[in-house]
Amino acid sequence: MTGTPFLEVRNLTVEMKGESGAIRVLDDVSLRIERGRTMGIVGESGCGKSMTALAIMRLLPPGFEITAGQVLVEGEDITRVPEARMRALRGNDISMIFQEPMTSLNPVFTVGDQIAEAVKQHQGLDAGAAEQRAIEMLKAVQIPGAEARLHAYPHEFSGGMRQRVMIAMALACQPRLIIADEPTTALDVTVQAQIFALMRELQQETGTAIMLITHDLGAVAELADDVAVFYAGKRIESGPAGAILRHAAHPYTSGLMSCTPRLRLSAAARDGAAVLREIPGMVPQLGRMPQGCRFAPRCPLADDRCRSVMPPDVEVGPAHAAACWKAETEVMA
Amino acid sequence: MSDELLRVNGLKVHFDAGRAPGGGRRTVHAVDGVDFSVRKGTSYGIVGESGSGKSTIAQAIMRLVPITEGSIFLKEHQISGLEGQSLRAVRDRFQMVFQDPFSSLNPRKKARAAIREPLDLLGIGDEKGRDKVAEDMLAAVGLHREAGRLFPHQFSGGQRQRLCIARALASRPELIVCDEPVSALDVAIQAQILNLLRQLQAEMGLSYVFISHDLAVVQYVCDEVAVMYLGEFVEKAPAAKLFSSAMHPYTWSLMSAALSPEAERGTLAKRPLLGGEPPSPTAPPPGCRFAARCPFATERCRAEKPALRGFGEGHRVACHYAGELEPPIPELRRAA
Repeated sequence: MTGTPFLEVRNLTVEMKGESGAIRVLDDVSLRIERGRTMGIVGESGCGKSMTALAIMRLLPPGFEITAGQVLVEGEDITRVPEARMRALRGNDISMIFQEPMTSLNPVFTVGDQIAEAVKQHQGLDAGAAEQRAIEMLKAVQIPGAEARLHAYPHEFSGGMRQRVMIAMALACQPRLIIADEPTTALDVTVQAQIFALMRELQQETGTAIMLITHDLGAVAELADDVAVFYAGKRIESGPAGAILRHAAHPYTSGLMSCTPRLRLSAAARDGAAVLREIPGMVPQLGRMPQGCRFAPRCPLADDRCRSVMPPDVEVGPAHAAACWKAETEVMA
Repeated sequence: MSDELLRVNGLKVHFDAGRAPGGGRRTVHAVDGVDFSVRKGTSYGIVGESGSGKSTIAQAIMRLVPITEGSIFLKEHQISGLEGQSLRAVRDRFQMVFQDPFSSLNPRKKARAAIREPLDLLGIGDEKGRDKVAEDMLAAVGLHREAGRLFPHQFSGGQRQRLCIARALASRPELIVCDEPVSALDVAIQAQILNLLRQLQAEMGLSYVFISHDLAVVQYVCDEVAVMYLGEFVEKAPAAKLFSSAMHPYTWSLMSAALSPEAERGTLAKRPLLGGEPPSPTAPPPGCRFAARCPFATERCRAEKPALRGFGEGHRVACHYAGELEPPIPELRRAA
């Protein structure tokens, strides 16, 4: 890939300052998100997916700090810009959709006020124009009766409708990147399907890039162009979604693939259920990282080298890298 | 049937929801007349969206909510009619595993005490015997025997769910009601717990009522499946039958919305997706409850309520047009 991507994270390290010294929660993470494309960020909870998003937005919780690396937005390193510049970027160029729409909406303001606030703040629209934009946005996310719903409060919406309101807020300032952190985890499958279809449609219309944080490989297959897999604070595999889902190079990625239950319809439903493979054990605790490859204690392929030396990122295919001593280069047809 | 363990007949659970705007009371029809039975050593799955009433069925079986109408039999015991001491006398036979392993364990009780608690309450065995059972159960769910000394916060989410399973197993029940037991867990841990449930079933001859919103998970665990919508079963069948020849449009829409890691990008966009959301259970519509969202609905559906009808091999469907409609899912068309 050539040219400057919209967002590039370079060797980002985030540490938590504790009484017993600093604990690394993100370790040397690099990724790039191209304009108009969707990047899926996958991994188990506690692997650093959300932390990466918060570090990009500079919204890390107290006690957490970026200690190395850069976050480049069109070449500008935003880890060092003043807070005022950051405030201009947030919402305007990069906006965020959170997992739980009820806790991220303010219960005492109408949804119209909340959408309008963003455009007033960032785009300097007056009250009338901002309200007009709020109506447009509610229509864009297919909320029926947008003019009337403008004056409704968050509790008057269902979970799926609230997530649509969140998407409307995120899109109101026409950002170039939307970070969606598990946007459908709290929703029913039929509503999830509606939200995914909506996100795709809106992306095609607006050309925004999306960073989709999810633990669901099915969601990645549905939406993502590119994928980064996280494990224990490290990005352990990245590449085009098709390559990763079909030829995972890292044993953790292939482990995730094989422990995802598949719906088997038609004739396949009559076969006895195949046994779901497991990844034994669990993600290591922060501050208690094993030596060498962090996945080694759970990895079926691990040997002495894996347990003693951290593997570097190895190029295994076009734009496809994996941090594994055992990763084999793809045989390209 | 002689190997029938649990039998639920015409179960209704209604809740009072306060005064209606026009006078009178509002009633939530959480469960509105469901029948099913679970054979010994098998798993009965109930799938549906949130608000469909599936968790209320679980709570009704466990006698955690008042039953409005209908009966529940565990073998010869009519557990829906028991109260107080006589209910406690059969409590050891059926236990429950909840969705959230964080809120379903007392943070101030050590693991051993948590697993022992049902035995303490039911007065099963003596002190030493109960500790032994707790250790055995820890081992059975794949935790260390010594882990009983630890508090819940010292366990991970997956380990806590193992603890909850160990607690449910302690009284040697025949039936375990699992209410979304893996939906709070990461996919790698989910696979571990699903395999553990299957292994325990094979070893101990357990029966499960397994409640989930995830069709793939239900297919992995269950022998029979019921699909629930707004308080009612709209389709039920042996699992192999349901997943190879589902007939209800709501079942199809759940199948259409399922994601797969193998799917092409944008697969959902090409499928017929269900619009809208379920109507309120306080005022269920008079005809078919799914009619408002069903792409095939006619005037008849909106006016006349379809009953469950049999289509052979235990397959029952509540749709006026069952068997006449073309499934919108290519895999199902090929099978037909």
